[in-house]
Amino acid sequence: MSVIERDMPAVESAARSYSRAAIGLRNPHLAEIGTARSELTWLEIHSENYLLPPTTPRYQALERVRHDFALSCHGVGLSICSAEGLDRQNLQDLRVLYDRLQPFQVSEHLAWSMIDGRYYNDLLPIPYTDETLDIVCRNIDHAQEVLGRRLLIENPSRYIDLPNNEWPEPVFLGEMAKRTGCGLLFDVNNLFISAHNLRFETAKYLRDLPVAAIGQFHVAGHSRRELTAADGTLDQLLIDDHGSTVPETVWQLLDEMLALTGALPVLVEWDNQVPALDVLLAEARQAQQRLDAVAGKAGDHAA
Amino acid sequence: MLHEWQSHFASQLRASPPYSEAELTALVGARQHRFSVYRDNFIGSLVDALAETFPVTRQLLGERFFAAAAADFIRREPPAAARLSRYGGAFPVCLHAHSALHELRYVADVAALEWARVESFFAGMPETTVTPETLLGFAEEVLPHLVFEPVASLRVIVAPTAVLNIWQAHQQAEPQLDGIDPWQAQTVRVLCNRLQGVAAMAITPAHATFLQALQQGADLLAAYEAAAAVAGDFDLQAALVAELTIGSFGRVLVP
Repeated sequence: MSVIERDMPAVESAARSYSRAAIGLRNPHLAEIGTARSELTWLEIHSENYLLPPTTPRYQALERVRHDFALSCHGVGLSICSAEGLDRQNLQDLRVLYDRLQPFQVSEHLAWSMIDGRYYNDLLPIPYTDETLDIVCRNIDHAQEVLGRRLLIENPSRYIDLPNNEWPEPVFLGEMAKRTGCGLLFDVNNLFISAHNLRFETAKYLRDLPVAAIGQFHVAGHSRRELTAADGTLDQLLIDDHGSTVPETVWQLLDEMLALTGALPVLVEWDNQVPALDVLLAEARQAQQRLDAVAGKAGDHAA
Repeated sequence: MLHEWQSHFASQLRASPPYSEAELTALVGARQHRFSVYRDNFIGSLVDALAETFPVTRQLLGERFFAAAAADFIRREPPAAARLSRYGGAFPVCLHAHSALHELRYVADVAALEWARVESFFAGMPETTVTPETLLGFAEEVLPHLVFEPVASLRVIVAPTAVLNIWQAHQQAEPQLDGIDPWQAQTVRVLCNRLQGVAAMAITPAHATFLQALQQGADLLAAYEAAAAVAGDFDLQAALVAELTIGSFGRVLVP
């Protein structure tokens, strides 16, 4: 039995026990985040921001935060889909960080950022092919083994339907979860954006998605961008910029998904033009209302 | 095959305009105009990361010049790892070599100071530092042979320009540069300690030589001799007490 299979029940129970709304911890809020203790039980951090010596002021501030909140660690740089494998030093550093912080969940993106020893600081797309699936599964196995934890892998926001795709995304995600034992961090905003940009129906996508593998939801805002195609026509794209409030359309899609999964941890992401803490907390309250509504319906069914 | 495709994708991210439509179509298909979303994210996010690391350099150059110089640097030298707080160590050298900045040498020097501050911050603070009182525990004849080991956050900048004065002037909302001669050489010590966080302070050239000798592992006598060769009146006791007081040394090794 692998470490992942052995830990699975504990991981699932951790997800259920933190089935509440939360926000990401951002630097401007480090000093005042303690005031949110009455509302929030957990926070998300971007792992790479804390790969620091424990004596640095930022790390020490996190140590104080950790006494008040459970943590979910979201990696943005492991490049889990890179054909050259994973950066071993980065993986070891993450292991040390996670052993110190003891997060209740750790996650990464279904994307690549690193190739030929260079890091491109974006979540770059992959073609959904048999070869990619083999590489991604090998990398996830490697990461889970070194980290000693089950990973949640986040679905991407997509801008281009690559010509070499062989698998529908939700089926690819399901096969990946089945082969590696990883879970899914399902970003509702990313699905909304991809469906718009690639012109597909979310209902069909959700029918193919292995919802039982979902361990956490993300919601966020997005923006619109108009591009001119080679033939001169205008192309309206949605861009995943995490720089505004969550639109009603994304909240509604979250409702649909919560109805399928039941209550799970829900994170409101906001990374650009980070607003005052109060604004983020108001978004988290919205998410909590959606979660409470699902819990209420579950209660009604039970009664 | 995936490796080859990802390498090709990366080379198109780094490409300068004009972009090849045929190459992009071969890479991502008919909607190749959408590739700009990835290219803009790659360049834009790293320009932002450099702007965070080099805020005064950005003010000195102006937003547009800084963005253009940063984009050139990013295309040539993308990060080698995911930790962007450590990205940009070669940017001051790149600015130093920039043909449009030959008359503005102080810009590259300020960038070097900003990078030293970042390195100092991320080096962190040691659990304990050597205090002035420690000296009392040593016999007088041992003192010249003690090796004071600088903490990891100690940096020494030797610049032919008024790098610290210019940097300090830009800590105000409206920088006042009147009275600053940019061509006045300055030597600066950067250190991260518990009292001040990361602090930069002007020191004499002899004092800088003293610290650099200690960084290279010299004992007290050898470091003093190096400093005295720069300035005959170098005051060893004053320099040593000043450094011990602010916590510049992590430990002292006894021969």
